[in-house]
Amino acid sequence: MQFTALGDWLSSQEGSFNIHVAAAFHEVADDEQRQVLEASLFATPRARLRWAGEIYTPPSILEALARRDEARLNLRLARHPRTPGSSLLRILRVSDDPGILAALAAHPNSPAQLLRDLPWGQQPPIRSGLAGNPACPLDLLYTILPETTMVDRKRMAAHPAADGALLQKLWEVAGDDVYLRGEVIANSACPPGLLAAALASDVPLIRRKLAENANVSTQALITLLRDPVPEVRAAAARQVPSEAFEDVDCEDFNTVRRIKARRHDLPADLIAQLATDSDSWVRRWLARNPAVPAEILAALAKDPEREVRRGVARNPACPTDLLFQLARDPEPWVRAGVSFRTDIDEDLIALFEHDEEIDVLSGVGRNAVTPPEWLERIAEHANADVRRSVILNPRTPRYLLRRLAEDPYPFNRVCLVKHPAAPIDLILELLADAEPQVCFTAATMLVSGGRKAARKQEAASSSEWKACRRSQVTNSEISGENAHENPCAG
Amino acid sequence: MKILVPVKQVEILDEDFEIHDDGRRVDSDYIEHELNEWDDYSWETALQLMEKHEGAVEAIPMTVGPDGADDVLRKCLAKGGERAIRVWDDAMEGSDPIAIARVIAAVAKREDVKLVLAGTQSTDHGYGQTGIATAALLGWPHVAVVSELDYTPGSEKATVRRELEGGVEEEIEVPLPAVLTIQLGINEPRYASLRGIKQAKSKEIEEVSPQDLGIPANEIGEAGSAARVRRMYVPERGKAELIVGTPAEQAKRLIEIVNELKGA
Amino acid sequence: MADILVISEQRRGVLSPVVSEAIGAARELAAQKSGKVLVAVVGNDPSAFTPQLSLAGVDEIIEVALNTPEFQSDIYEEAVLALINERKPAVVLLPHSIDSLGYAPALAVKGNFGFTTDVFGVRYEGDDLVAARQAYQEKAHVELDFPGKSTVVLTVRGGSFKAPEEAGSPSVTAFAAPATAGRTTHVAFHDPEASAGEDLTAAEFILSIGRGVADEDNVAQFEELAAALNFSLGCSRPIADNGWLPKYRQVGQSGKTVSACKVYIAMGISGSVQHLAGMKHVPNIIAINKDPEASILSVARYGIVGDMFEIANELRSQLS
Repeated sequence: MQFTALGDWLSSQEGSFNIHVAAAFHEVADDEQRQVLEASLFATPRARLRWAGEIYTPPSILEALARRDEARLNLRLARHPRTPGSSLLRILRVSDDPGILAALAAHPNSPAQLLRDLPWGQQPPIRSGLAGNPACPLDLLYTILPETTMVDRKRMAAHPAADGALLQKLWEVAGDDVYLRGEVIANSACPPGLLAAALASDVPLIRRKLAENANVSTQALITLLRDPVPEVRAAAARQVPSEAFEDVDCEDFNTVRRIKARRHDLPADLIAQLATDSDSWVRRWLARNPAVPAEILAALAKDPEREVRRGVARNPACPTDLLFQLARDPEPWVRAGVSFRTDIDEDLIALFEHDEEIDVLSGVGRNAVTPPEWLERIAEHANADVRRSVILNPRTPRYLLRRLAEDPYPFNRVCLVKHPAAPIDLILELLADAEPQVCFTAATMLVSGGRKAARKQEAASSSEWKACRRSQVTNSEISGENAHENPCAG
Repeated sequence: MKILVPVKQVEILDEDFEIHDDGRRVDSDYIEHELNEWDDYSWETALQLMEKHEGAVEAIPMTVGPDGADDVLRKCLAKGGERAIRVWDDAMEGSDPIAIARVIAAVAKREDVKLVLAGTQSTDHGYGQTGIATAALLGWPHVAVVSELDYTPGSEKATVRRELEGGVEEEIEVPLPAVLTIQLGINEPRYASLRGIKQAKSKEIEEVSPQDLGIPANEIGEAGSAARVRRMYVPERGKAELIVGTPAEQAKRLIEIVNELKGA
Repeated sequence: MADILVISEQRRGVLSPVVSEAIGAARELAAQKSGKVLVAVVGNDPSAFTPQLSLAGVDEIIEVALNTPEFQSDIYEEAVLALINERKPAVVLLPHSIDSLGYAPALAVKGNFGFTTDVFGVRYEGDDLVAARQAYQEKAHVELDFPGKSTVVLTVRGGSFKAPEEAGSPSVTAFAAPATAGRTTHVAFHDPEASAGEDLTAAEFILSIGRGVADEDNVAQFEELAAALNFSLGCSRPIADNGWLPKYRQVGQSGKTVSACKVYIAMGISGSVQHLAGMKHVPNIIAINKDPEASILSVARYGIVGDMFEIANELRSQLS
């Protein structure tokens, strides 16, 4: 929305605003417009408290609240994840409440200088906050180390800024706390000397943490693969080069075999052996493994366990003829695995024309190749979640979106306003929706670049998966170019 | 026949709040309001009876509260029903559930209802008293914690199920007129359509005072209550216990907790 | 003289454990005011429970025979009312339970007694009886008193008071309850059907995953974890919307709640309004989330601020 359009909306409101819309527009408003909006938004102490505590409050509003220097607001602001660093600095200047200081110590947006200025010497909760704060600079960690508790030290051992020297110190002060030592060993910055000590440790937890370290040597992994303790072997099996796997016969622990079945670099003879494993989880993992050849997938597509068959249906490398077979599986959950695929064509989707199972319908409703007449039918389904699948379909025609704007389930309307093809006039209507979440989302979408911003926000919140060290598999979500993933907060 | 559905606008707090200077309540700046969760279900129960027996049943929502409480009545009317009743007078301040029940019973008599459907308890304080106290004041049979209701208007009895421990249910026959307190999960409350929300704005909410209902002053407020708030305070330990330590320690403690809870 | 009267409760031949806990509370109160502890055993065969309730500190057991094998609200209410009017105790304690929800308020109204429910603390302050209970969904506590009431009825929260451990030797008397026909009629008990594990509304132990799981390929390890814990697997909306788990596993589907659930572990779930609606009544919620401000942590009994994958990994390793 351009500023002129926002100005129009403001004047059309005749002074009384939908506050949720006002909150969303605040970010793009100029100073004069903001004053007008704030007169409504901040009218009462209760309203101000609510904005300071509401999770979706935009940073510009938090900033405006911080400028009021109200003590009751400041605790909520100091805890709010979106409060900008400049506001946190301001709060520090006017606060001495221990609760507020502890919140500032823990806040990831706190600038380094703010953190250094905190009275960490007198207040243990501040030290705890600092120890766990990724924004805490390394030198400050060193400084507070002598006065920290063991719990704080464990936070430090996992700190992104922790270097080899800090980890060495933490190892030494750990004494017989194997958990702290384990965290030190797990940290990718762990000095080599300690890694060597870990290999020789008689504590299984420490050897397991070594196997999980991103920088552990291949040699160490090969040794750990033969560890007497199964959990250590399982951890080693995640990272060790697959050449190190010998006959699976000698491995009688299913937890280790399951890890092997997930490996994309599994040698062919091992795949063949695991395909007939008595543990259905091994076969499930194998069924989803894109490295498994077609003839093995064909065998797994006939497995008595439905989850194994579904795994094949979800396999990115599953051949089309198998998909046709699985689309006719007696189990709805297996058929749904096919209906959700974004790489199938009209011939395959046609097989679902008369399928009434809600999981299958949800996949059909979302599918880009589903004919519009079917979408109309699915859009009238009694189940709100099934109806929502049509709202989540990027190809749903506009006329159908208009109909769905009347959906009684508020969350469906929230998803509707986020649809990339939602017509502007529809979104403007939904500014007046009865449900606060709907109007706020509608307003956010109208804000200039709103839709791009919303997608960025989705990507940022799924940056958690990037931090996931355990996943061996890159994002193989089949819906490739479809940017409408995870559109709705849940 | 008429069904009276008393609903409550409950008070919700965020994590931080302050106790008022008088030490007996929370500073109202920190209080948010919403419709009692149980009342969603009791209202839905009434609506379904109304729809199933069109023309034979009228469901009337009512609440005791100042004019901000109109909100919860409009929420009900947005889903169905034609009118609502709100009772208030400043003398109601300090009323406990028993005093509130006196008002509900008076409205039930005035409207000559055959059935009162109340929520089993309320989201905020969970006293669980109002419905059954109303039954005693009316002198009517009553069942609490109702998880199923089978009733045909015109019939003299209803068949209900009462939810017991461990998922067991007790089937009971109740003669009308009666009071039932409704449990969560008895049905799936509908969402109001946008049209319904618009229409609700022009439906009638009758404002009535306890005096209008003939309730003497000593039966409302603190004087008419069975208990009085002496002091309100924030307990030392909050509700959630944070499990700290390394992930390995946290997992270990989690397993311990699960085993404890499973054993219990 | 301030006697304390405890009223028993049972279901299908089993006494409620909260009755002995109420006796523990009664002892403390009676000691403060030099009163007696009276325990009324109510039912169609009260003497069956008399030995169990003959605990240390109990002065008298009053057997009240009723003409109903199971709880009926009118019969219990009239019997207890008559007993109170005869013995005039200062305080009457009942377990806070489904049964007492069904008759205690009526009893309080009929007798014009002081009354409140679900108390976890009770004491005398001078001559005033003071009861403590929760407010605002356990966020605050209140102390209540009962001005002008010579008898106060309280329902006590289970697990709040300690039952006496030793046996006692109370005298045993009988009280003739008024003959009353209850107005409601018991038809039958219905036991729950054995669930196939596919119905989350019947599951007692649920592990639920949210958008923190981020990728379809990460879902299976949580399925495995749930199996290892012997928990049913649940999920939040985005997971089911993407088809990563079937709809019946979605918690917070419009109107459906996990009403039988005793322990709910939520991993990577922030606690949207839609999801919370489905699970916030579970008595034991354990929430694991990276964000210390995630709203689910405010309804949880236990919280872990941490990475769901690390915790899952550790759980898996420690469970095998």
